[in-house]
Amino acid sequence: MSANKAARIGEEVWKTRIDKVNAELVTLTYGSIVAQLCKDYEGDYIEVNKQLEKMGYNIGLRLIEDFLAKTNMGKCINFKETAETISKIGFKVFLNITPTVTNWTTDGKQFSLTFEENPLADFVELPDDGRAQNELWYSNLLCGVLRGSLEMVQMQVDAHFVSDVLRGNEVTEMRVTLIRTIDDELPPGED
Amino acid sequence: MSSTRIACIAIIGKNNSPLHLSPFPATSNTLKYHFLTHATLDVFQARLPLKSNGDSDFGLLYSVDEGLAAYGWLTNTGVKIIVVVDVGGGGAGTPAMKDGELKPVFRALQTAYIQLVCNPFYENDEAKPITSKRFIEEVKRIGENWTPGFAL
Repeated sequence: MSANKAARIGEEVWKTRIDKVNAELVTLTYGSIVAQLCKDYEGDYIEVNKQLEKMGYNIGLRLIEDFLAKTNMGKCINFKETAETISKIGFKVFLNITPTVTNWTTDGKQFSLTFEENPLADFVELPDDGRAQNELWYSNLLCGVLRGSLEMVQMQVDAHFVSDVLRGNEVTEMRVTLIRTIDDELPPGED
Repeated sequence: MSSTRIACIAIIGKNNSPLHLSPFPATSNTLKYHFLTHATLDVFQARLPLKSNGDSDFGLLYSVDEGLAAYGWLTNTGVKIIVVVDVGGGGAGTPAMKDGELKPVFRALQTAYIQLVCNPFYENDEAKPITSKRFIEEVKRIGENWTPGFAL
């Protein structure tokens, strides 16, 4: 499946099968979750990152079902196709953005998603306490979503942000690595 | 008048506490502007009962004879935006400004303020002045770049 085809499917599904919700609602809801976590963990941003990732993971486990049902996607033949699907269909239908897929490693197991826009981070200015800028990955929920949803389709991945415009970097970039393909396990107790 | 420029932008909270004040150029003495904006609060108070149509624009609040004119804007949440304009020349205190000329300035400032309060990490605390870099930069940009008839 080519990138163009993925883009077409994404557009089509987003237009016809997705219920839309007000952008500020999403931004402010997510914002208050992150801000509250920062308060609850008393500024332990490393822990906040972990919690966001965990929340995302749990979202991903569920969201993939909805995604597959709405898009009628079959199996991707390789990780490259998976990447295009994530960017042009996954992000498109749920957030109406299409992060760019770049920086492939030669073995085809690692790529970057660069976000030109990020609806979660509108309005946001990180706390000026000298640590948040270096420690907090504000949109870390997204990493968890990818890990959770890909796990449900037999891919164990690692996803983490490497730069964020909120920290003053040029771009927002997420690195996604395929660790292994999970083989379907035999049901226990049967020979 | 070509020398017309913004001399000061001030944001005052609901309970009349100063949230932010930027003089232009930045090196000017802020004390004078603190006095000026403080004095405008009474004008807001006095005109409030007459404002039944919900219009935020309070227009010219008053002018002082150094050629400074204070214009005000009040949001429905009680936040006051005050822009002091240096109309140049000095002497007679009648500013040569058209009605509504500052509307885009107020709108831009209000947008910046909305951006500020929508930041999930911003704590809406009247007692503290605004520290957001982005907000202060934006106010600076507006204050320094505006000239009459200029679109922001």
